[in-house]
Amino acid sequence: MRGSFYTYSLRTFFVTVILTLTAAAPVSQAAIEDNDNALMGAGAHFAWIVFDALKHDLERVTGKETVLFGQYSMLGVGCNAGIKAAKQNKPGHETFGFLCCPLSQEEIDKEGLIVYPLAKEPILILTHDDNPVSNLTSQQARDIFSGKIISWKEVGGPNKPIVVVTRLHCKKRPGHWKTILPKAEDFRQQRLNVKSAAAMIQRVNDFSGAIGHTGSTWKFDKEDHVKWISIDGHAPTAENIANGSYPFFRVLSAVTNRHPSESILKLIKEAQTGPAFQKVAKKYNLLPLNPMRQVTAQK
Amino acid sequence: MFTTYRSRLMAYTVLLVAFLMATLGYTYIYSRNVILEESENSLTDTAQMLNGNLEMEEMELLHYTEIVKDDLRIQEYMFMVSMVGTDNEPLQNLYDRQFGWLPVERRIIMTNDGRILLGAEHASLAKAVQSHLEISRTQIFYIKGDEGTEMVTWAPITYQGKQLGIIAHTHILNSAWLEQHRQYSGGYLFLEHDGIIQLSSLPNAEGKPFSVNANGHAVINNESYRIRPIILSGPSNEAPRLWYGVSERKLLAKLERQSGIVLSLTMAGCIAVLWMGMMIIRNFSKPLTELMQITRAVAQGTLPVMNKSAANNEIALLSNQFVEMLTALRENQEEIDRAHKELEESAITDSLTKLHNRRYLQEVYPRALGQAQRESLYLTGIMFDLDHFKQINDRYGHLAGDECLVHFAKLLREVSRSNDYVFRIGGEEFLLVSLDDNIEGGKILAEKIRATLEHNPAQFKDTLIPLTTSVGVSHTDLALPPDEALTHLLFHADKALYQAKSSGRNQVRVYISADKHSRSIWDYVS
Repeated sequence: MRGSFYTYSLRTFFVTVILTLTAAAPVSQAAIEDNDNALMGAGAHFAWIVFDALKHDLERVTGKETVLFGQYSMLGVGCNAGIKAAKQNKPGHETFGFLCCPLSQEEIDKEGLIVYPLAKEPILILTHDDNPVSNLTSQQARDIFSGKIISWKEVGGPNKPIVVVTRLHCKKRPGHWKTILPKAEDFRQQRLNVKSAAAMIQRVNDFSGAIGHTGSTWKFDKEDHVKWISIDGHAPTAENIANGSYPFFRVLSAVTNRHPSESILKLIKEAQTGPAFQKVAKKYNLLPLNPMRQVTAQK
Repeated sequence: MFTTYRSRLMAYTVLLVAFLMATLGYTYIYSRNVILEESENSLTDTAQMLNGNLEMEEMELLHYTEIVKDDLRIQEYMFMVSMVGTDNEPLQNLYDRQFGWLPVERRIIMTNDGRILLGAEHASLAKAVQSHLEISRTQIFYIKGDEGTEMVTWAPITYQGKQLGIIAHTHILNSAWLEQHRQYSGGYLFLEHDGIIQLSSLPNAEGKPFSVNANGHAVINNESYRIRPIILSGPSNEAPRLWYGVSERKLLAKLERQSGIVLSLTMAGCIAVLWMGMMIIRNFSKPLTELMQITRAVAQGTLPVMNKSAANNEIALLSNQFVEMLTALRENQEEIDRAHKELEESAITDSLTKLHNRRYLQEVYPRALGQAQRESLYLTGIMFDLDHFKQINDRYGHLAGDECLVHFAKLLREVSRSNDYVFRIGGEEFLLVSLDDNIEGGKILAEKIRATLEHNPAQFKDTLIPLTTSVGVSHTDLALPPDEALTHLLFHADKALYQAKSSGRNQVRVYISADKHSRSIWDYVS
């Protein structure tokens, strides 16, 4: 018994140490200063997915190495880390941030930031894949999240209580989950509020009656028993966001301080309009918010 | 009382044996007390150690329960199950996935109203926990399970500040547990409930009555055990009780071994001391006693024979010197005896003829008379007187006369028989006392001597000196007392000798008395 206990304690210790080190890494001042010839970016996981996919193109355009932090969104680095990285930008230490939700003008002014919108990302409404319900009206979805509907039976599903799982991050910022319900208080009190996207997927996995939400850039595992459902009969696609038929989305952005370097601006512009971004947007059903630069094929 | 060395040595030996026995006896009693005290201490220490181990196990189990209780997902999932009404499966899956490794026997999660969300198969545990919570809020308690006693820990699960229910874990104290703890404690563990042993590491003890007296003793299977309680946390009214016991027989086995050793040492010590005592007595007392006995014998006039000792110790040297002293004394005594004998011999012997003298005649005559009386023999006296001896002295000299006397004495010794006595009773007078069963024997012997002398002259230098003797023979009156008989014998022999001289010498005359023992006339032989 004692051996098992010690094994458990040891395991807990190492996991704690690893997580602490990993969590500290994205915002490590030392890490940034040690790479003064690189362009450093940090921020929300979902935007990181985009920037990480564009990494080679960005380096090619800027001629500098691009170092990105933000892969592990469950560690709470997110948008705040992006704002922090943007503010740390200075000559010789070029940094920028990326966000998964829009900022209020008040926050922009207060923090001295410039926001560069990239794309709108559909917010997927998730259910367990055992759940036969594959579509909800936007109102039904909102009623479920608010607690007005508490059984799937009410929406044509099985007689099973609904487990609402939410991740209400960036509460002071507009958009994002507020496209579902505008305020945190509007959500059902008897719900599971998780801290990370991974926890969200796990909860929906665990409860066959669960309903949750996450961005479309989330990479699902094959073993996940999670599916997205359509809203009002519309799938969470860029087109449906563009035409307004899919109501739940958020805006992915880049952010800098008031004095971004030329390299940073070049990087962001490539991310906003470059051809590589078009491929990424298509892959993740993102709706670009800037006119795409036409690429002339070179012989 | 102890005046002799022997008695003192014996007393010392006895004292030494007594001291040895007392020392070993004290050692045995002291050892016995130490062993018993150490056994008691060991028993208490072991019981405390078991208590400590059990407390550690309790804390460990409670820690597991606290880990689960503090897990946010468990709280969330329980919230969903209990408040939203989802099925239990997510909670069960979560528990199995995250805490399935916990080394617990049974686990339940149940709501405040007793609805079991996890571990529905353990309804009895849920009921026991509920019963416990009705009387106590202690997080550790014990219940009686099917396989033994179960240690139970529980903790409340709260979510958003509200208690949803409890998580409880159990750890079973079964036979394997008892045996495991018995192995390093050395004694036995007993789980007792209502005076009956439910489980025990002691074989064949289950189901037996169990009662501990005020001295902490219990008798199980006709064997006495020293018992100490192992404290189980929580209320004790319903739960079994745990006891630790050690067989007194095993405890005392050590003491018996000690006893055997002490007894063996005592025996060996006593034997050694006795042997040493005997050796001391033998080496010191015995030679001294022998010396003392010999000294006493010497004081009493005897000189016993002693052999020298081959040993080289002081007692042996003293003994050998004493032997040498005894030998010297004995030689001196022999010298004295020999001188005394020679003196005695010279007193009764004629120095010229080496024949006995008249003094010896008076000494030996009573014995000869007694013999004659006892054996009815004739005791005859034959008196000789050399004829004309004065003339021989005058003619050949005194030396020649002496030689004639020596010659006649030699002749008397040669002709007489072994039981005859020959004496020189005067200058040239000799007496032969003869014992004979024939009254004529004396006369015949006298004649034989006379005739032999007549035909065997003495020789002095180159001169032959013819000799004759007159002989008077007389028989002793056996009825007379010795002195009177001798006087009569000499008187009558002398009369007969006178008669022979008067009748011409060189002849034998026998005195015959007129009474019934003698003839009334002189008997003439030659």
